[in-house]
Amino acid sequence: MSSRPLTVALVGNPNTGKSTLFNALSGLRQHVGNYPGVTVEMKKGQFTHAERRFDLIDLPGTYSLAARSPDELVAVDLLLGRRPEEPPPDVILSIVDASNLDRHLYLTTQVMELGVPVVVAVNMVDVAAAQGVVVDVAKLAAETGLTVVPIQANKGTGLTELKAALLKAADGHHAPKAPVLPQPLEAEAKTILAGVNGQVPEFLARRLLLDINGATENWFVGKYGEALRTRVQEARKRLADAGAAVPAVEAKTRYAYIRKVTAAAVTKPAVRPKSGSDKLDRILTHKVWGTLVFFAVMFLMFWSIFTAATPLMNLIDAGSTGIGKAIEGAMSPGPLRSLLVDGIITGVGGVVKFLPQILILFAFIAVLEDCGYMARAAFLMDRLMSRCGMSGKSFIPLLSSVACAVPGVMATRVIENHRDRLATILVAPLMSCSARIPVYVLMISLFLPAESAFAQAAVMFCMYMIGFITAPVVAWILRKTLLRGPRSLFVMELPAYKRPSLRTVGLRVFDAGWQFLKRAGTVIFASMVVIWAVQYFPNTTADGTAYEGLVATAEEARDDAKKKKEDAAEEEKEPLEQEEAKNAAEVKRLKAEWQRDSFLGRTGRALEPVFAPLGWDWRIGMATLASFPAREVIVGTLRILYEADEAEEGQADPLRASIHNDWDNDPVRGKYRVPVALSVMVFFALCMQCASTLAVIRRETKSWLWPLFCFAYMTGLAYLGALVTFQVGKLIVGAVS
Amino acid sequence: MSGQLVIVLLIVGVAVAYLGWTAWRTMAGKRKGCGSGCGKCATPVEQPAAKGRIALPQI
Repeated sequence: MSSRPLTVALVGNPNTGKSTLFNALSGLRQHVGNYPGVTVEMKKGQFTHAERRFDLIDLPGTYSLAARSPDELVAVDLLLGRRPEEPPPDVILSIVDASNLDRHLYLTTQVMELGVPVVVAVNMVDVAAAQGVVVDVAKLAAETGLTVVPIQANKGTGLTELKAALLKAADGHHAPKAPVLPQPLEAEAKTILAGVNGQVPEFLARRLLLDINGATENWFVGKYGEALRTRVQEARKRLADAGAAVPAVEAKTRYAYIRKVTAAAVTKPAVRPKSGSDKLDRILTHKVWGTLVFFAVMFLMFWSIFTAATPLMNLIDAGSTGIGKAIEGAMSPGPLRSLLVDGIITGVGGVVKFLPQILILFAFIAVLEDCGYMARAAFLMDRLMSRCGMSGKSFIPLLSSVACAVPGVMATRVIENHRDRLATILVAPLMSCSARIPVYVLMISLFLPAESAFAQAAVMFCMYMIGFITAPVVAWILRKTLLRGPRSLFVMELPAYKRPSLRTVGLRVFDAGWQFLKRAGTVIFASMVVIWAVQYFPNTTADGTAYEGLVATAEEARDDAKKKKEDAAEEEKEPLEQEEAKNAAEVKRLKAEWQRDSFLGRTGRALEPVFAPLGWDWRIGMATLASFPAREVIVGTLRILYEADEAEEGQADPLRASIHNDWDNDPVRGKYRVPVALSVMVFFALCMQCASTLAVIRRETKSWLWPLFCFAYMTGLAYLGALVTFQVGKLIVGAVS
Repeated sequence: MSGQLVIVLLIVGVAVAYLGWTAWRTMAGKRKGCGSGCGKCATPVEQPAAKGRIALPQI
């Protein structure tokens, strides 16, 4: 095998199947979404053909090499071999959509000017054929002077031929028949080049002239000074006088060339037939029907979360309870047993139990992305986004944030307008992510029985709507105040609908489940240990007696009374029943006293005045505080604090039963059960409780200011929201009763 | 001090240290990330990230 691998750069418009081709060639599992903006980072893979190794670089999908943002300029630099971390590409693989060659060849014509061999992969030939479009690849190759290979990336068809073409192009002669830009433009580009002593490629000099206020111009001015901008503006004026005004001259020249090429190589019907996608889009992108369908899809997703997940959740619950009981039976009482049973098994088990719901959510998201529906959702929301002063591009990161805000924040890299991008970053954490599901499910179950899945889904839907409504409102406020500036345009291509790939969906669900379990086994596990410790210690009374011993004695007395009662004759049962109840009450009193006197209890009670206006007791308050690094921690913490395993036997959900019993005996939470649960949910919907998201915001904005601002405004908003929810709910309950 | 208490104190100590280390790594760490988006590591700007990835510069 040759020692030097060949570097292949993969370029293409969004929605050409670029990521699918990358995965098919390299065997990697890059996330493929059927809407623009999925590839926010360039990714690299490898493959071998004819004993030659290829390094494949996947560049973000783009319609043009006219760089509008610094990250787009990096992609251009990489193609020009100007990135120090990567070797210059030996071949550029340009993927185009066979059904839409007129537009997709635009990027290819630009790539042809880079001086690197280009291979064109004509993808989706099957979709084109279904529309009556036939591409004659031999004629296309003859007209462009490039190697052209028809492929079907999703089925892996044509890949061997493509690999062979790449190898041949890298080692062979390169003579593309590129479009010729007007002579005055070429002359001005040469003058610019001479002015900078030929230190940059000619391609960039042309882009400097063509891309008004683009990233190339900013880079040139930054490097060679403001005087260069004046020279460029004068050159553009001369070009306009010569009848080659920029930027129009580029589009005119390229599209004239493309028309000539496609006239020779593409046959299509005179009237484009209406496809199934077109018919569906008439409904799904309709401002009324489309919105209704969007809401219906969301509702169906939440309904499934409640109904389909229950059996598996019960199984996990039973498993963790069984393990806890086995450990209790095998170990003598003591802090280690308490840590294992009351801390780790109860806490972590309480979180892991929500795995089925996370899997269902991700399965839905993956199917909606892969079938092409998410692009329609983004299109529908563009109207709302633009009214809030943001571009429709903001909706894609916001949609990603429904799964997790971290990739959502990273996905904002596709937004070239800095203010739009910052506004989107700051509101993305308001979207309800998968980590909020356990809180919502638990709180909803406190006031809605399991049988009413429809009502439960409706409440869950409302919780998600809080994010969908609040995020644009906050963005609007930001764009009117801190981030004032002009609006930007949004152009998006709607991909054809397709049957979701089982493999893609399966991988996405598996990855999500694995990430969740990893989180449960690391950060949540450690958090549960610490929370258990601060609610266990100090473990002695004021006179130094160990609580554990006192509780064990009381439990023994209770169990003795229970056993005696069971063995006793009917007429002797009543006094023994009273004794059992007395001892059970003593166990409860001792445990409550222990918990109240623990470090957690003392802190919680000191902070109770802060939580009281929200309708929370110190336990809810402390569980919420403990959840600031990761939201899921609240469920485990509540399970520890409410001693879920002490619930009556036979209860399907021990935590729900424990909280129910506790709240029934509480004057506030007993009477205002619904407002309290809603207040907790609203707090979690609006609060920034995710260290990972704060970290990614810091990295993306390169500043501590914005994550701190985000944390402060979201926490304030969450407190206010929870306060209003509880107080208004209290008034309503008071009025009704 | 009982054996159980000693083990518990050790476990709690390790848990506290782990949480502190994770927080530091998330906020200030320089370790290369894998680009998976979990946010638990700090992908450095302008440098290739873990094997197989290239980090884009951030605005």
